[in-house]
Amino acid sequence: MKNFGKELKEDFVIEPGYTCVNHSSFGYIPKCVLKQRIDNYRKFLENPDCFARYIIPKQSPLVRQTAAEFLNASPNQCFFSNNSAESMNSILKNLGLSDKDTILYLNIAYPMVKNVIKYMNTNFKVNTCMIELKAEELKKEIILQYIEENMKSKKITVAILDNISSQPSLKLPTKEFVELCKKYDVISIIDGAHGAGISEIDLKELDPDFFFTNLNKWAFCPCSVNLLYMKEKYLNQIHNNTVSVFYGAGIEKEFEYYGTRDASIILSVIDGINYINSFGLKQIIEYCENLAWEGSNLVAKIWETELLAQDKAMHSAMVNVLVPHKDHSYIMECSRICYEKHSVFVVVFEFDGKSWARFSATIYNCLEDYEYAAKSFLNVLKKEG
Amino acid sequence: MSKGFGKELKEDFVIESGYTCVNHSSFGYIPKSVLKQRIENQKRFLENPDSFIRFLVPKESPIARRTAADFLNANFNQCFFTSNSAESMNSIMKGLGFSDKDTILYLNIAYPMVQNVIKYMNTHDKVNTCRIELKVEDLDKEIILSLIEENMKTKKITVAILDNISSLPSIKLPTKEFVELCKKYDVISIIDGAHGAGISEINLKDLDPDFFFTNLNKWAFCPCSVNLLYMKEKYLNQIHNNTISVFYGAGIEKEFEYYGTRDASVILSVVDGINYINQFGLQNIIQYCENLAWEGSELVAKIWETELMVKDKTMHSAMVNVLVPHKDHSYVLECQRTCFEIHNVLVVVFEFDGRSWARFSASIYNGLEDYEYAAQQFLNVLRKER
Repeated sequence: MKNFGKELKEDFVIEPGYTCVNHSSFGYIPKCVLKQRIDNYRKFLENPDCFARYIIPKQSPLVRQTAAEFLNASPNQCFFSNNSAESMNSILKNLGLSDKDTILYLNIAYPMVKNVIKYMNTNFKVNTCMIELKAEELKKEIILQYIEENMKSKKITVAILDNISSQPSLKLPTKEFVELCKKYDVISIIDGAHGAGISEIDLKELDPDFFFTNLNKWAFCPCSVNLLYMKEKYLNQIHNNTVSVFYGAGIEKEFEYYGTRDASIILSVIDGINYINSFGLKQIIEYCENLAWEGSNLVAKIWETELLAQDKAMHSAMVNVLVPHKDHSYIMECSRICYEKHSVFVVVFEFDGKSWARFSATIYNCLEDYEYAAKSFLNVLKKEG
Repeated sequence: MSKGFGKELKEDFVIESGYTCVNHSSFGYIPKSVLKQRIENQKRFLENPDSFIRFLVPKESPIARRTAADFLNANFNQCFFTSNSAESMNSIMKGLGFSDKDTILYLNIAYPMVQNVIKYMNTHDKVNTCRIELKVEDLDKEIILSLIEENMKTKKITVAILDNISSLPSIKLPTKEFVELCKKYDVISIIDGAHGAGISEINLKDLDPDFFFTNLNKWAFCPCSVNLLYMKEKYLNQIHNNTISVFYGAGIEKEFEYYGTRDASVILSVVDGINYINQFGLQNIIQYCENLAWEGSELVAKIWETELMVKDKTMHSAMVNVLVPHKDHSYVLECQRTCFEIHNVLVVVFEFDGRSWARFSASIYNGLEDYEYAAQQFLNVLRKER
């Protein structure tokens, strides 16, 4: 049994010579998972008729069961989609929202989420309420306070919160959020894109109206599979955003098949979860959170800047560091050059008027990855190489 | 090109060993050479998805689109990839802003997904619908066109949809005349070309519909599944991807290039599939497949002592429908499964106009013996003789 860190890297499907400090956008998988994936894929292509008509209807419930158990939910409330976009579109467009409704969300919500909300506003005149957070407000208590203030003073129909936000990346108080939603009779949606495999998720306890999570970001499933969860009362209301042959045949069928595609990928969900369980989820989370913190502090030291949020408890395995430069377009260019020259990709984004970098840590990462990334990026910024 | 079409080509294809494929068309089966390249692309994607999605796809996607657009004689800036016909159809219909003032015209033989999207528009947006009911004896080019024109004349139709080649039952439809009728009566034309690229000679500049979509995995030897969505220029600022994601509002090109994490490396195989077609020649492929589908289905009808649904060969592409010698459709469906499990051949069966039919497809690795085998085994199962 290998230890976490450098020696595990060779067990992963990663471009040789590439330093990965951004595990989280799409996910990187173990070689053993890829091997199984390719076998399944070949089987699918060798007889897609059989696969789509017989194998998937038989296997899909089993896979849903495994994923549901992993998140402590009932399988009959869990469905697979390709990605968070499909899940979010399916939820929001089927709640029957109109100009009498209001959606509450944070400015740090993921761009896809904000766009679906914008779409609802443009097309159905649904009202929207965005809470603007600045760097100094990225604190659990402040965030909850703003959310409650808005729920108290306005009639909010539905509210959405990240489990762990993307850019900037922080852990958000989902339990308290769901309680607030219940208190003020608001439909709760948790964007758990970053969730399975890097959070200990207990959906029965958390009890949101809706929850979705990627299995490829942190749960070692190939890109891309998403799990969509909903309370039972929505099972007859929500439809797959892609209307296809099973429209009206029940939500289970609507998500099992919604147009020709490679559905063999869902079989890899089990392989990814088994991989996690071979180490233990808690152990993985501990290693990754600690390394992301240590690594990002090292980056901040090398860059002579600081972290966006100083509280370790607000972070999962992604941490945000201030970039030592003020011109964001220049920084974006440097991100590209740094990738091309030094084979390391640093995620950069703008927030609250400044440029930040986000570093992720997974079980094949070690401290030197962050040292290398920091130094390479700095050299490019300073035009020193 | 060394090998001829038929049995000897089968070993070049990714087909489960021992499986007799007489249904190439539902999902498509690919050449081993295409799979080899596909797996390499997939590995490359998984080894560095950051680089693939941020740098490679934006560079390669226009090239793949251009290859596909050239293949269909269209401008590449009017062509976009989706995963399948459902995504294309959803994006078109939901982006046109229909209301209770509009009416959609379609045939009863339209694909179930299409009929469901229309049903969705009716349920949600109260869009009116007008379905033309065809019986077996109406499956004739002139009758279909006359029924379409009658409806366009007597009602205010906003949009009409027609298959290039329908699925169940499968016949070739008069798309050129249909588009002309649409223009004459000021109707938006949508051609469901799911069965199209690779089995039809498609010239979009000539056909000139408002919208067209086609699967590249059914007949164009691309792995399952890629779809090409085409639209007239005037719609480029109106249609949005049905899946709203990070590029919503950033232009239709971006909206279809990336709409959520997924394995976008499959579009690279579009070029491989089209190259595979071009080495044989599209016309040669079409001729072989249409002839074999016809011959094979006639052989089935002979063995079953039944008949073809439509007797006119010119109404067919590489899929032909044969009457099943049994009246109980649930029993026929059960036999379909048993036949697959025991004899390793899947016969597509469906109900139409009160009877059960089988649909046989022919591709370049098929030979007459495939249809003989399928017919004999299915009959044995029907008769409970095996």
